[in-house]
Amino acid sequence: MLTAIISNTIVALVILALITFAIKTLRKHSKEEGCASCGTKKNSACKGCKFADSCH
Amino acid sequence: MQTIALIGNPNCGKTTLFNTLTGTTAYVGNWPGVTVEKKEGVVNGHRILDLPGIYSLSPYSPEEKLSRRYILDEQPDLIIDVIDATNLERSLYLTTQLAELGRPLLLALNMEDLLEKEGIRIDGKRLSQMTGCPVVQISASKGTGISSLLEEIERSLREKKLPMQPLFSNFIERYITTIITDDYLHLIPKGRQMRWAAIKLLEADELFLSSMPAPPQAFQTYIEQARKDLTEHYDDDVQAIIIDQRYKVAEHIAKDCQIKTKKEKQFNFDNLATSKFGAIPLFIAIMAAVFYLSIGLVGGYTTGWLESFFAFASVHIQTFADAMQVHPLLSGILVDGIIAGVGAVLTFVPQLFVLFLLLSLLEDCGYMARIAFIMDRLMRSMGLSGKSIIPLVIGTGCSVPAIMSSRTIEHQKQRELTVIVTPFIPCGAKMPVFALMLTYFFPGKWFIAPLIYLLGIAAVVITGLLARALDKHKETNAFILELPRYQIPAAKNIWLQTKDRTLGFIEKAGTIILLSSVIIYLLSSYSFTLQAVDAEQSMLAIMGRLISPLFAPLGFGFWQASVALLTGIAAKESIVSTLSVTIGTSSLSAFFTADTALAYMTFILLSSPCIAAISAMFKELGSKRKLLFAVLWQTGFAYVAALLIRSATLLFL
Repeated sequence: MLTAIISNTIVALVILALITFAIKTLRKHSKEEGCASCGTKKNSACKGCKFADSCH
Repeated sequence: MQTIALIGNPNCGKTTLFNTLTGTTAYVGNWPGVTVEKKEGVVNGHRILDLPGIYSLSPYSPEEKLSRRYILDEQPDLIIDVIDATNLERSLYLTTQLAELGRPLLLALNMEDLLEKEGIRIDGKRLSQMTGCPVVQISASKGTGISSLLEEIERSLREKKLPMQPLFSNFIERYITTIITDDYLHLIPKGRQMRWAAIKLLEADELFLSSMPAPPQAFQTYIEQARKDLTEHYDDDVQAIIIDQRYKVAEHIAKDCQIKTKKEKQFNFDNLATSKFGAIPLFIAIMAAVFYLSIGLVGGYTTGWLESFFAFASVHIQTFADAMQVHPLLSGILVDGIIAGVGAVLTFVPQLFVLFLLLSLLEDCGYMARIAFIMDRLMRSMGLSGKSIIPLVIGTGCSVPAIMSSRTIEHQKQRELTVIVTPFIPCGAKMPVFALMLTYFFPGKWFIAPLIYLLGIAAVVITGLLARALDKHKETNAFILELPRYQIPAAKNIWLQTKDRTLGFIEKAGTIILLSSVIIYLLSSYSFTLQAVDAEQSMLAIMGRLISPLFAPLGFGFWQASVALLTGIAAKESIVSTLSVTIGTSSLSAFFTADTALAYMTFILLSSPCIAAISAMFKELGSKRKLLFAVLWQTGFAYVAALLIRSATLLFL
């Protein structure tokens, strides 16, 4: 019983860690990366576009 | 912190120098127009910017406007004019304009390592005397002369010595002198120089005039008379006269500073690579070789090995999980979701690495620019700009930067058309889908892969011709593409490009693909009442069946294929992981046949791209209506093309 609880917890944690890592990486990218993350409203451009001042 | 701006002609090596100075890894390509926006870094505690390559500071193209506006408004503490030493005279044309901006100027004579080969010797000391600027000879790619350049940067920032102003003929100079002495010139915006402003007034530079208040009537009359006198005297318009004067100054300096020795006549590969009849067959042959080596040879070995590895891992982890009494939901997510989905995509890493490596080699050695050259006439004949070829070539890697690079196209219609057709070119993310289908349905027929490229090009041509036929105004414009010299590809550039693209692919597998695999697994294992059910009764199957009839005429009207297409909107690689989770790659032949596999590949190739590319399209098109049209056109075109391909395959095979 204990083995089952421990192994289920470990597998759940592994899955959770992988999903968290994936979401964190995606969110980090959308903030930092190029224009794919730019919004269309004023001041919602990504860092690169704000700097280049060349978003349409 | 002081600011340094790197400026120079396209393809003179600015980005390579920027990378060398800052230790960064900005994308470098052996063709003009790689730097569309400015990039920022730090060197010795100073802020340094890599501006787009330009031939002049006339505000005609977006790059010229950006560079000119930056220098005038931001007033960098030092401008480094990166000069292609093997093209001194042409490069000095820009120098004559930079010298008028009233900022300290340093001339970095790049590509000094090629001078001897080209039979050129440059007297740097004399060049420095004639321009009033410090001159340093460097080779950014080889890293030579960089320490001298760094020393000179520090000295120039300390001394802030201004360059000498290029002088024109006396006939023009007397008008410039009179204009400078007028009070009206005191109204020029901050940071502009009197002489520069006087020349812009004579040229009737619209961007400059719009920044000035209306001149007094007498002054306006004088300017108009001056323009008239100059036009009559030189029998040309004022802008052309000033251009001519600048070239004379550049020619004079270049003649005085460089000695050309006779070169031995060598075999010129361009006689074949850019010839009317040989260029296209050569291109097809080269691309066929690229695909043979990557998908055919490397993929042929590694796909099987990696599939066996992931199958082995899945079986053993599942057995272990069962023995440890792990709940089927958790073991299912891990094994049938994550390992099956991510593993299916990672299977293609080795062949994509080789593909990216070979494409980088072609680009860096200068061959890709020849493709741009030979496609130029074709592009213009169908309503696209000659510059459209650059996004199309970049699109072989990823559509997002490719769509962004269309900003260099001046005409709006041509730019929008380029944005719409760029995703037709197969990007790296679509390659795993093609490789998967080729592996299972066309083993050994690696030549189908280059045909996918030809199909993409055909879609570009057809769309272009249709747009051309419907366009009443038929805009055309000349495209000056300088053919870069062939060079032995720099190992560092090749490695950086290949590594970035491959790691980007792997990272996608660990993020979007992983998440979509988990979601797909859950949706394909549970019903809407959250009961564990067979895949055929799952939520995913029910949702997929809503749209799958649409694809029945194309031969893939089953829900698994439809759902895979939907997940492909997040990232095209997801199609492989979704097929792997819902069908299992080894069972593909139970669902697809050769003709439906071809139709499926065609639809994926030509239908609307992933969400990141759609977002880039929206930004470049600037309107929801235009975006909707673009997406509908791409998807409609893909549907018709897939239908035709399937019918043709059934007819002939």
